[in-house]
Amino acid sequence: MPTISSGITTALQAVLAHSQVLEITEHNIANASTPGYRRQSAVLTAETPNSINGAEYRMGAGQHGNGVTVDRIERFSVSFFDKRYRAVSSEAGNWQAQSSILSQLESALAEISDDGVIPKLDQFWSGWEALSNDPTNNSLRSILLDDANTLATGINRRATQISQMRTDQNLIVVGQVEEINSLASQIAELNENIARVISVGEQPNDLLDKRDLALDRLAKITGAVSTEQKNGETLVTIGGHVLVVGHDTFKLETRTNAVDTSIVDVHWSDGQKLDPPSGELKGTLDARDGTLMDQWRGLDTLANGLINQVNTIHQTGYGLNNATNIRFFNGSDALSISVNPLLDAASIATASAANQAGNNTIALQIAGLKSVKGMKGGTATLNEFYNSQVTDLGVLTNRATNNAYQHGLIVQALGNQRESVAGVSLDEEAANMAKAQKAYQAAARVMTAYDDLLDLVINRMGRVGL
Amino acid sequence: MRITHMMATENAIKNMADNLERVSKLQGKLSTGKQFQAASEDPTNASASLSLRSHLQTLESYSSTAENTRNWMTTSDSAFEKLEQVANRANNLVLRGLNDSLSGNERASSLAAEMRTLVDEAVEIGNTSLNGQYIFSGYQVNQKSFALSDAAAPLLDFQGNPFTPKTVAYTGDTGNMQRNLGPDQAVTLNVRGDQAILGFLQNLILATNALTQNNITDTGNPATDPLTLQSVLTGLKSSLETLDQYRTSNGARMRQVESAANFLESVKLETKSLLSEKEDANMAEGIALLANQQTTYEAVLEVSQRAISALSLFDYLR
Repeated sequence: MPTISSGITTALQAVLAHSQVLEITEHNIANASTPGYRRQSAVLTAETPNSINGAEYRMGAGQHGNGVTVDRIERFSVSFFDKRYRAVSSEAGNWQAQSSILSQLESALAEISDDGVIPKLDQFWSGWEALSNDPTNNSLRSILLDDANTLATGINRRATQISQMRTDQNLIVVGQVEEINSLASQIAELNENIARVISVGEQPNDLLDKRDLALDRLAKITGAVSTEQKNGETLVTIGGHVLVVGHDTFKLETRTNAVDTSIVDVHWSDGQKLDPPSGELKGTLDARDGTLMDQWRGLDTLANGLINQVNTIHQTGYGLNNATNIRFFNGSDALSISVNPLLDAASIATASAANQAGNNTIALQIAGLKSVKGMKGGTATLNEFYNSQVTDLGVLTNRATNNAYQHGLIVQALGNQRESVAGVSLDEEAANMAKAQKAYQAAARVMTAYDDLLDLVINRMGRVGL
Repeated sequence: MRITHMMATENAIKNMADNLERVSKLQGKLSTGKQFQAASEDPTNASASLSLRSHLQTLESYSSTAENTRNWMTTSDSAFEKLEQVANRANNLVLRGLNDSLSGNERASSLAAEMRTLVDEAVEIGNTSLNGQYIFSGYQVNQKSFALSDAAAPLLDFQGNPFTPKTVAYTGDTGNMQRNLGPDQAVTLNVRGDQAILGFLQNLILATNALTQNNITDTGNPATDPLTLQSVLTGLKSSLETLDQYRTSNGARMRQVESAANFLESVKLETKSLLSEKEDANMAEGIALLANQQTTYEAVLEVSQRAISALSLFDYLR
C-alpha cells in the first residue's frame, strides 16, 4: 500500500541516485585529461516494483514502482582497439628507437660534410698526386703526411664513436629492463586487487585503467601481449615467454655479453635470452647489433684495404733518403690505423729505385690506387666502397625515420578511435550534469510535496472549526 | 565520430609540431643552400654528390699536374731556343774559321776564345733548372745535368804548345719521368740531356779544339779528321738537327698537355654544374615553399588556438 513515507523514500532514492550521477560526472570531468582514463557512466535502472492488491484498498490495480537506483557504474572499455593500438604502437616504438639511434650516428659521422671520410680520402690521393708531380718537394711530403694523419684519425674517431654509441645503448637497455620489471610488478599487484574487487561483484574501473596504461607502455617497450582471464587477471607474455601470470612475475635482467664485454644482453631470470618481438627494446638492440656493427665492420674493411693497398706499393719504393721497405700505415683496422711514426717526410717512398730523386713511379702508383677496384672482390674502389656504406646508412636511417613516422600516424589514428569511444567529452558531461541536476531538483520538489502532505496530515487534519 | 577535448588538443599539438618541423627543414635547406644535410634525407643524390665531389677533386689534381707539366715543358722549350741560338753563333764562328784569309793566331786566340764562352754558355743552358730541379738530368733532378772539366790528355796547339782541352760529361741518368693527365693518359715530362744536348756540347768542344789547333780541312786520315773544322761543321749541323728534333717532340707533347688541360677545364665545369644540380637547393622554389609553409603554419596556429581554448557547453549553462 502506498504510504506517504514510502513516497518520501522513493523521492530520497531519486535524490541519492542523481547525486551519484553528478558525482560520476564530476569524476569524469576531473579526469578529462588523465592519460589512460576511460569515461564512466552510471547505469540507472528502475527499482523492483511492489505488487499491490489495488482492489482491496480501492486504489486501482497494478504494480507500484519504487523509484530509481544506480545499478552499476559502467566503464567504456575498448579492448578490441587496445589490442590493435598496442600492436602498432610496439612497431612504432621499434622504428622510433632505430630512427633515433641511426640519426644520431649519421650526424656523428657527418659524412656529407667536408669532415667526411671520403673528402679526407680524396685529399690523401691528391697529396700523392701532387707529390708525384714534384717528388723532391719536401713541403709536399709534409703536406701528404699531414693529410694521411687526418685521414687515419678521421677513421679512428669514427670507430671510437660507433663503439661509444654501442656502449651508450647499455644505459637505455638497462633503463628499459628496469621499467619492464617495475611495470610487471605493477600489473601483478593490480591483477590481485582487480580479482578481489571482481570477486565481490564490483567494478574496479580505475584499477583497470591503470592496468591498461601499464600494458600500453609495456607493449611500446617490448611488444608484450596480454590475455584477459575469467577472474579479471591478465596474462602478459613477451615473445612467448610469460612475464606476468596472476600476481606472479618473471623478471628480466641484464648480463654482460661474453664475447664483447662492452655491451649488455637481456636475459630472463631463468637464463633464457630475451628476444623481444618488437618495441623500443628490439629497435635499440637491432640498431646496436645490426646497423652500428655493420658500419663499424665497414670502417674496418676500409681501413684494412687502405693499409694493405698503400703499404704493399709503398714498401717496394725508395724515399729521398733511399729508405725502403717502410710501412706507410700501421695497424690493421679502423681503431688501430695510424701513420707509421718512423716515417718522416724524406722517407716517403716515391721512387722505384734508389738514388733517383725525380723518379715518381711509386707515387704515381699509389695516387692511382684511387681508381683501383680492390674492394668487394674487385668491384669497387676504396672511395666507392665507403660511398656505398654511407648510402646504406642513409637508406636505413631514411627507412627507419619514415616507418617511425608512418606508424606514428597509425598509432595516432588508433588512439583517436579509442579516445573517441572512451575519452571524456566535456560537452557531454555538461549535458549529463544539467540532466542530473534537473532530475535532482525535480525529486527534491516531489519530496517537498510529500512534506506538504505530512504537514497537512499532522498539523491540520482533525482540526475542523478550531 | 565523437570528438573529445583531449583529442582536439592532442591533434592540434601534433599538427603544430609537424608544421613547425617542415618549416625548420625548409629553413635549413635555404640557409645552407644544400638540398640535404644528411645522406638519409636523399640517399640517391647524396651518393651521387659524394662521388662527383671525389671526381672533381681528381680533376683538380690532374689540372694542377697539367699546369706543372706545362711549366716544365715551356722551360725546356726556351732552353732549346737558347741552345739553337748558341748553335747558330758557333756555326758562324766555324764558317769564319774555315776562311783561308785568317791567320792561325786569329783562329786560336779570338775565334777559339769566343767558342770557349759558347761552350760555357751551352753547358749553363744544359743545366737549366726549374724550382731547383735540373730539367735535363733524367731522374737525377737534384744534380746538374752536365759537368765540364779538363780532359786528362793535353793536345798541342798550332804552334806546338800543349793546351788542356775541355771535356763534358752527362751526370744525369736515363730516367723518363711520367705525368698523369688522366686515369690512363700519361705523358713524358722531361727531355734527356744525354740524348738531346750532350752531342751538341761535345761538338762545341771539338770546334774549340779544332780552332786552337788550326785543323781546317779533312786530310783523309780517319784518326785526325774528326778534329777538323770541316767535319765539326757537319757535326754541328747534325747536332742542331737533333736539338730541333727534340724541341719539336717537346712541343708536340706541350700541345698534348694543352689540349688535355682544356679538356679537364671543360669537364670540371660540367662536373661542377652536375654537382650543383644534385646537391644545391633550388633557392627560388625553396623560398616560395617556405612562404607557403609559413602561411600554413600560421593557419594551423590560428585553428589550434581555437581548438585548445574552445568553449564548451559549460560556458553557456547557467
